[in-house]
Amino acid sequence: MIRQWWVRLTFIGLIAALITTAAASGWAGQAWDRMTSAYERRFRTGRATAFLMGTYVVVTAEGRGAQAAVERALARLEEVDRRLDAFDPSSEIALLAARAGGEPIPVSPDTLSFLELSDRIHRLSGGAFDPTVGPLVELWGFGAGPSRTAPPALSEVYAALAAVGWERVSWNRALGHAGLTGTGMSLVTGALAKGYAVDQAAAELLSAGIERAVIDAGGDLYLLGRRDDGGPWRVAVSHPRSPSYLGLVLVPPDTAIATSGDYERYFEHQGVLYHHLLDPRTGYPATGCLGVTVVAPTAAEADALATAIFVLGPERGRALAEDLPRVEALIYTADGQLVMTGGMAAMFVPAGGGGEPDGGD
Amino acid sequence: MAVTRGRAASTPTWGARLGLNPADARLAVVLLATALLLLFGSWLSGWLAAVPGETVFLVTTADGATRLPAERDGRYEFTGPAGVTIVEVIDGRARLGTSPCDEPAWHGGWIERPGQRSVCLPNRVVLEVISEGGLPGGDDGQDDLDGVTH
Repeated sequence: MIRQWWVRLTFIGLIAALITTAAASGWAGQAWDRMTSAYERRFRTGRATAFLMGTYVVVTAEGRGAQAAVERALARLEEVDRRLDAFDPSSEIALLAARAGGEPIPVSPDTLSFLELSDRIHRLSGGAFDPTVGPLVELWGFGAGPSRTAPPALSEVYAALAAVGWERVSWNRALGHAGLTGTGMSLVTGALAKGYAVDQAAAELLSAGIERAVIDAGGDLYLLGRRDDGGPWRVAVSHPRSPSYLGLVLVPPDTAIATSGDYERYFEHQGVLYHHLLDPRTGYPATGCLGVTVVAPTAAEADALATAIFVLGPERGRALAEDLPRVEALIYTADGQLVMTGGMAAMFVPAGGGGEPDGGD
Repeated sequence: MAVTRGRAASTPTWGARLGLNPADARLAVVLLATALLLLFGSWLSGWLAAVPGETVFLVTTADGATRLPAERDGRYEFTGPAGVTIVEVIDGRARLGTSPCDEPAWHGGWIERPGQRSVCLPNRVVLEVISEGGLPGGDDGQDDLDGVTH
């Protein structure tokens, strides 16, 4: 009898031990993962925010020394902003306007890079992207001056157009100077400077050894490294006319995404919406699109191409994006259609298509 | 007079009271212990899983950041350079209510997922959903957003 119950007990005990060990090892693994995750969150993540470049900027990163790295990245953003903010009278861009028609002035490498990148997008877009629209932007009330409630007269538009022209911008990197050769000229930096600043911040993070980061400058994003789960980054696209989302873009690693929309700055007059994305060829707000989202290797390209494509309109805009490597575009047209490049179609999950956010209501 | 040591011989064990022989009683003890261990492991696993990535609403103003619990409904006032901004939290969602902003009216919707954000630039008030620690999307699941482009 004694032998019998010991045999039974040993047998049952072994089974129980096996079950317990298996379960405990699973939980131990899970617990270890959770603890390391908590450690990563506490000690290997960084976050810094600021109101910069007319928007709210958030830099988040993961990796060794992440907090120090995001603070350096934010400092770099501030430095670029000080140089390229057209609304700051002490910035190099404002000084260029103040000296328009005169001799070139010494400028920083950041301003030279801004001019070179602008030149590239200007050429690629056949002139649709032109930072010299400053006089037009002021005329339409979207600059530093007073805002408007009605469109300007045609004669005023023509007068402002006379001070617009990229061919009258000069720079020399070797000499470190730049100038605007026409009197009354001024530059608008909003369509590229923000993206350029984001790229510079990303470079800071990379040089600090950061493995993964998100730099978000008011909806212009650079997504550094791979997402935690190894999949693509998930970026929602705001609907231009409702608080919901158009859908979700699954963005590959080390890529930027930016959007230009007519809802950012505008006024309405007699039922017509007049917005800040002005066509440098006509002097009037561009028609054809309500919003354009661009995915590109750099935030500067994404930022500037979103504006260029908006001005070009859906068909020519899509053709431009199709011609450029690693550039994809999503265009919400004035008549409510979604037009996109082939690559964007593969990375876009439309709202209602499953797994995408619905946004607010 | 005889001295009885230990349990009185006449006192039945708890196993005997339940009608179990000693072998079955020991087996029952082992099984009960195993079950308790499994239960404890299950609780421990759930507890650890709940620790990181708590979702909160973060309101940032010039005066600093304020965390608003997502599970508590409320109406909060934040003063900025342009006036007062009201933040509403209802049913796990939040939005900027009355606010001195020039943002389009159609961009004043509710937000509830990490990565979503509402900003009143003139008043320097930012309302965002964050998963505490980590990146906007973090590793808290596929549903989270890493950002919103607009």
